Amino acid sequence: MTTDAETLARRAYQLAEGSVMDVQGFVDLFADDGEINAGTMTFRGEQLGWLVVFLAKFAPDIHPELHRVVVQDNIVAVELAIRGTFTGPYESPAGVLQPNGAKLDVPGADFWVVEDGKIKQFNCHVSVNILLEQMGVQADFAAAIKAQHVSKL
Amino acid sequence: MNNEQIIRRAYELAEKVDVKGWVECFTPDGTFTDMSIGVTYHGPDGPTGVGKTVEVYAKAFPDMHRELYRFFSVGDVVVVELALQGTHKGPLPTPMGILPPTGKRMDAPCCDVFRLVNGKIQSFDCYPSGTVIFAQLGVLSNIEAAIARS
Repeated sequence: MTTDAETLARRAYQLAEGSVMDVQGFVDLFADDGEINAGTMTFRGEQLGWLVVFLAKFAPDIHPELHRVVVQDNIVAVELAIRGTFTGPYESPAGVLQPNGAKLDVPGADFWVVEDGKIKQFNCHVSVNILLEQMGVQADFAAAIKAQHVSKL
Repeated sequence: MNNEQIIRRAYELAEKVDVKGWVECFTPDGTFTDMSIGVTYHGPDGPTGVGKTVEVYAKAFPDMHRELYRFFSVGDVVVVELALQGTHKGPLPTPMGILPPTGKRMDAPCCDVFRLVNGKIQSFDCYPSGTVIFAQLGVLSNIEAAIARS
């Protein structure tokens, strides 16, 4: 198998498909010091598979639909939509959100950096607030502001 | 100027809140899509013009700064990884309503994808981490209430 940057990135997406879900295979594509950055979170080592497992829990049919793949040497940039059906529990720090069967279609942009045939860095810029909205979670600014004011008293 | 230089200049104009200059970086039918809210801005003027977001963020975050980390330019595409930084001191309009100033600091990851035609931006897809921004502004904790209601 060739291990150019685009091949590796496409292979990673394939292994993270809900219908494939080869977490170990996904992790094995990374360098020993490889990392995944998503939002403010960074995953390394044994944690590299966390994101794949997390996504498949609430959307077992998860599918990354790649819209545009741009490659330059060892870097791959991808515009994509993460699609699936919200049929499993979504485990958030605030508690578990029960599935509502909604079709998810969440835009994102990913950056892959490859060195010596392994993924060195995967930066995932997914619109999580759109994901939450599609799951039925609406921001309630009035309640949030009120809570802030109360906490200052 | 090559495409990367053109985009670097566009960021400089946005930093200076030179809305006219920013808008002139776009083709007449150029678009700016904020992927965190699913809204596309078109054309030079008005509330749906491509300059609107620069104006809005400059008012909401008077010290607004785009910290540019990585440029990636291939053909007609320029991709940028950056951070959106600033202090929330003015009203921030969102599709969910206007968020009054919280005084809190934003430092959120973002990925911008530009497509250029003849040195002008034809499309700009912006992927800011909306949840990170809302969390840093202190308005994401109410997810607990949303989850409790579900």
